[in-house]
Amino acid sequence: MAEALFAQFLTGFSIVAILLIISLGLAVIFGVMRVINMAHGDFIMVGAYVAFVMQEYFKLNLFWGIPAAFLVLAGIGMTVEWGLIRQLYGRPLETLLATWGVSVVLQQGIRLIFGPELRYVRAPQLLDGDFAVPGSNLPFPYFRLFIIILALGLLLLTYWILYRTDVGMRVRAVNQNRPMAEVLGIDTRRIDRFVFAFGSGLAGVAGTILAPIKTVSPGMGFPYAVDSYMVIVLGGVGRLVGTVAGASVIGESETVLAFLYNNVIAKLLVFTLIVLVIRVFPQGLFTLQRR
Amino acid sequence: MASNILEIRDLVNVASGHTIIDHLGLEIEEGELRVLVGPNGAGKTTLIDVITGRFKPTSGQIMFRGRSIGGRPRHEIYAAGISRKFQVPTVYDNLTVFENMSVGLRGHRKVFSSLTYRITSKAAAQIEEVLARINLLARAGDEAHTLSHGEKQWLEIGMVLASDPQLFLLDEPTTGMTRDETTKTAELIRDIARRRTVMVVEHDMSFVRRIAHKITVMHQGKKLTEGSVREVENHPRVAEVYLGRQKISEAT
Amino acid sequence: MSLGLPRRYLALAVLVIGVLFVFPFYAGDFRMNQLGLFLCFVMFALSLDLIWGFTGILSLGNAVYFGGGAYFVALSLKLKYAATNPARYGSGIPDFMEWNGLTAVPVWMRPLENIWFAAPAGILAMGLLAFVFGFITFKRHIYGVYCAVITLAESLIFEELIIEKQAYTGGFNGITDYGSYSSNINFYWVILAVTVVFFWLARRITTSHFGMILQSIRENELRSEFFGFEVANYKIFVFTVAAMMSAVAGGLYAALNGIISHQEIGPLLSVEGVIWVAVGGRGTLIGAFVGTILIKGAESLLSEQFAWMWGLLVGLIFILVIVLMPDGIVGTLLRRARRRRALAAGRAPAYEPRATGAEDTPTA
Repeated sequence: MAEALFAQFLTGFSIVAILLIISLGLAVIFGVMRVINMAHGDFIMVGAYVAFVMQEYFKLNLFWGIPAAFLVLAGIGMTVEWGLIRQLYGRPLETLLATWGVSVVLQQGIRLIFGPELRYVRAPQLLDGDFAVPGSNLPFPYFRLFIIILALGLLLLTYWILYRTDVGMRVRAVNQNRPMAEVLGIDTRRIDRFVFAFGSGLAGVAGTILAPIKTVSPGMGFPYAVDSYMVIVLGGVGRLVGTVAGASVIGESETVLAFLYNNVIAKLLVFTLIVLVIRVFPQGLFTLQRR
Repeated sequence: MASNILEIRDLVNVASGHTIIDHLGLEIEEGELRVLVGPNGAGKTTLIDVITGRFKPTSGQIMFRGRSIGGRPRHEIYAAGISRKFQVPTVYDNLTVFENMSVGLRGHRKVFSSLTYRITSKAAAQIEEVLARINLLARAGDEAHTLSHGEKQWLEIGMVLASDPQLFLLDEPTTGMTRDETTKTAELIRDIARRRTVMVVEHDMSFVRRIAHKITVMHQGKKLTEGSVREVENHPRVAEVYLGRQKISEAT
Repeated sequence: MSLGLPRRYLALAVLVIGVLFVFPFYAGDFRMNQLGLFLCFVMFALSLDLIWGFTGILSLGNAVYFGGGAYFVALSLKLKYAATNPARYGSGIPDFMEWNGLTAVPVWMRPLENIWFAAPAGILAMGLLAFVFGFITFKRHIYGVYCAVITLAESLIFEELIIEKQAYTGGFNGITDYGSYSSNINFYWVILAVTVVFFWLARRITTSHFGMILQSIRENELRSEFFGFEVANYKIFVFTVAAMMSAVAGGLYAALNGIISHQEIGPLLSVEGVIWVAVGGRGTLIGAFVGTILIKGAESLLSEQFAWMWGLLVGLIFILVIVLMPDGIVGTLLRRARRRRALAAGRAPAYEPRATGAEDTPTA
């Protein structure tokens, strides 16, 4: 039993990694723009379809799919930001609803183009198979290891962009004090567009990673969207450590609880946990205080 | 000698690691018109926030008429008789001026009592009386978002008046007002202070001079000094704190 | 008993009710059933208008209460049907129970066999659920986007829970084949009557002092807090009332439709309800009726021909409404009428905020 539990714990790491990848984009967007993108799940879904297209029509494997998805979704994100988000500036609930409309449009659009059938995307051959976890006999799929590495990589990339580049500094300025940033001459509209594009791109990458694990279909994105919202609600806003914390707590708890009980009970318990934590920390565990 | 309506002893408020109110002591007599001044960040608005229950004090005591109100829930503090006007005109944009006022009316705060309440003609007359005082009677049926900035400030003052407070806290009531509006507001506040205790937070020294009897100067969460307008203006530290180390004579 | 409505609106309301009343005679059974179901959705939308349009609580999970009420009624009817139809149900228990290895109706489910217990129980249960949820959420000043997202998650979880507990709920396929009141004109009139009563009730609430306080909470929650109102209590109250209304609507829906599944409980219906209110006009009550009938009606007429693109169209319409007409159809009409009156009285209308609600008010 203990060994099985340990195995679950390890699997949990990859779940945490997945949660991190799907939430990172949204966390950055929400942190800076205080906008919840209801189409986030569908951005993920489109990313998965990009991987599918790359595989079927261009005969290129997932390693090509990842940057392709990033670019495609960054483009879609920029369009949505320019055409929609900007029109509803300062009205977060309206924006939330409008992005729901985008979600519907994307889902229906994909359904029209590709049909409602399930699609399958293969993991690259390089990553097939398992390896033995050092110190035990447990098999661990290479692909899941790849996910973990990718998650860490994206986290580091985001961190680097935010803290080591000029653009990132401006993003952080807007994050902490938007009016002040504007007064200092930062083009906050440009920053918003950049942030939204970057976050959407990350969602696309998440989609390509998920494609081999879950089957690809027009409606696949929604549960991931809700998962990412929960990560942000729990972890807090405006700080990367919050997103990591949220993903870790939710990912591990869900995996272990799912093993002990079942999937749905696990979700219910984790949800209850989140609501209870929110009572004590209404803005999440690690939220940046804005002036 | 009038008793103290508000007594604050050794009040401390710490938020996000910053000490915003630093062992502050303050006493306001019944019926006073006190003005609270101080540079930005001195903690004036936070003081009002703590008094009205928006934040809990980290330590210290706030006594209202001998009753401790520090840390009590907001609706209790309101019920005790303390009402505030926010710095930014905070009215209900999509409700009419009259409706705005009736929200302020004292009483019927609980869910079930407001379900059965119907506004009485006496209450309506009260509202109209206040509206006349703040010159908004003609606009009673207009939605609040159609009011000018200054009118919104007055509407909010009116709403607070309708709640018949014993301690009226105003936070920079003349922000964004024209000179004429400021004059009118000074009159209004003096009038209000005739029958209630009023504490005004203000920046505009010319306005302060028109209404103040006693001024309290705050700086970095502490009370710097207290006194009449002249005493405060001549206090060397006050000028320093507001304008920097330069002496005023040198500046002019 | 004053209805608080200007003469002309009252006449219009009577006209509409009259039309709805005689509708079955001219439109036939199929359309009558459809309209009956739509009216259930109208009641659901009405409850959403109360919490969102008037109080500013955006809940993306209120279908939980609609579906909850529906499941109580459907289960009850199914238990009765299975017990009294030995030809179809030899063992006397519902099919999904049998398929999951149950040999008898569980003891705790027995009371549901009586519809006169099950229906009120469902309403009270949903009220209690809403009360608890409201207590947890609103007492801690969780509102705005956070509230929306949490209610969404709640809806998803309940949907999955219902699917999972298939022995008791029929799982993914839901509860079917329990006899229904479809094609029953008297039942249609019952639904119509309840709808009218709910509108009357909603009107009483929103035109009262309580209703005005609700709107003040929507406009500026913080300001109302500092006027001595325990905002959380108001929110909890209206949220609970809305949930019970939804439960009634859901129960009637179940009785009429003959089929209930997780779809009536999940985020899809929850958000659809919000869309109906947004398009019709939030904060207007009648907007709930207009929006629901318009969208559902168009869907049934158009999707028969344009099934493939109907979903896409709804999404686009919704985006357009939110961006260009945030007050919805009825809201925009009312606003124009007000402007005309103000202009006629010689006052130029000043800056008007577009939507009828303030957004997240800063807490710190």
